Amino acid sequence: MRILFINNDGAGFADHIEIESNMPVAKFFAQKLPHGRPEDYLIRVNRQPVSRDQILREGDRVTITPRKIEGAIVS
Amino acid sequence: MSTHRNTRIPRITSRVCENLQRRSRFFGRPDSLPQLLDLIPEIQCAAARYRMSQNRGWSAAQEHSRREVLQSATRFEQAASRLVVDLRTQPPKVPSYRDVYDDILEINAEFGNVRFDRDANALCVQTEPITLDHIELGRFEMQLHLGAIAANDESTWLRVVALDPNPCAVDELIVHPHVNDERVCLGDAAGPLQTAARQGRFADVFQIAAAVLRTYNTGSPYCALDIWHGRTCEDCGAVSHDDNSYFCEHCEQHFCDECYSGCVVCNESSCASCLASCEMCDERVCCGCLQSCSHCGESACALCLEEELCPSCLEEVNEEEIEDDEEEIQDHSINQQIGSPRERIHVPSPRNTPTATETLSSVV
Repeated sequence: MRILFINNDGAGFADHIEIESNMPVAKFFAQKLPHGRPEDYLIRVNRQPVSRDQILREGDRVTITPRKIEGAIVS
Repeated sequence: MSTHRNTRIPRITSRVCENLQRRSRFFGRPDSLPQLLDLIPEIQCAAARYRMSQNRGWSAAQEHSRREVLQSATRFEQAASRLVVDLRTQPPKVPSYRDVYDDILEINAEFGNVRFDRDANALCVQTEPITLDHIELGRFEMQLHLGAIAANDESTWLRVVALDPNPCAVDELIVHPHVNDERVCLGDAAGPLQTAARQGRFADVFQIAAAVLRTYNTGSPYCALDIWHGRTCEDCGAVSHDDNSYFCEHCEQHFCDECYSGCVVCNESSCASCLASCEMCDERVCCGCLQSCSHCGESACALCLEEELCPSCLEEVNEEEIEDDEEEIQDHSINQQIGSPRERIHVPSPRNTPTATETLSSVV
């Protein structure tokens, strides 16, 4: 199954990726950000906030954005 | 209300799409192409002169025109290389009207107040009032300047304007620990934000920027929040929290605890500049407790003065008195010697030891 995954953590990227069918959002998050806590991220599917047990569908647009990002003066 | 939203969002979307099209045209028409084409007549002229000098056997002119052709060919080669690089660079994919419309809707749903500033050519969104470490910083307007994105000027893409400014005490341009003069120090957000802006993912841009504004990084702020309302020391320039800042009543300025001290005599507090220095003990002393030695006129604190004399003058006066006493005793003893030569008398020693006893003969 193919979805558009937009990861705004780290360097940030947006790409179409293959995932297994009927994958819940929580499992997808655990796979992509194994060290992250879901509550620290804004997780949207097709631009809408979703529950962790929502099942991803073919062509979904999944966006993961950290709720808090540390700014810093460029040295 | 819904009618207003229905017209407002498409209108904003149209403006954004116009800018994206402009950006696309910018990337599709690199400057290196006209530069390369402009060099063609120049190289043709130089080549014609070179051929003519060759045909006529003008050796000096031939060498001169050969160098001209070489210079023109070198510039042509450089311009051609730049054009190749420009053409190989993939122009960013222009998001569709639908993508932009959905992004604007998402922004409006999350922040509720998206607008397009035609003068600044910027997509603008307001945050909620932001409070960090109990300091109310107020609302901010995040402005994404589409012209700067088109010009690939990363330094001016995003501007953040305080709507209820509560600047720090040090600098009124610092309205957030990570915002100085409307520029955000993005830190960890720089990479994802620039990627999102280049790809036209505007909702992601504003969500990332808002995440920076809602976070305080103690490691690298323009101004730390614990001294946000602190004061700058007029002496050393250090910023201190209000609890560690002192007001000098003499000069009416604020100072840090390092630059603020007290008079050693009366303990009255004052800044270092308003305290004088005792020339005897080198301690800080207030003007009221600084006096002059009645003998030499040097300034000294009340602790160093004795009978209005500084220590050195006091010693000098004591020695003079001792010498006077000695002279008096000598005169007296000479008179006594005439009458009773073995009479014992008490003589104060020259080193101020009044109990010393000497015989009349030893004194003489």
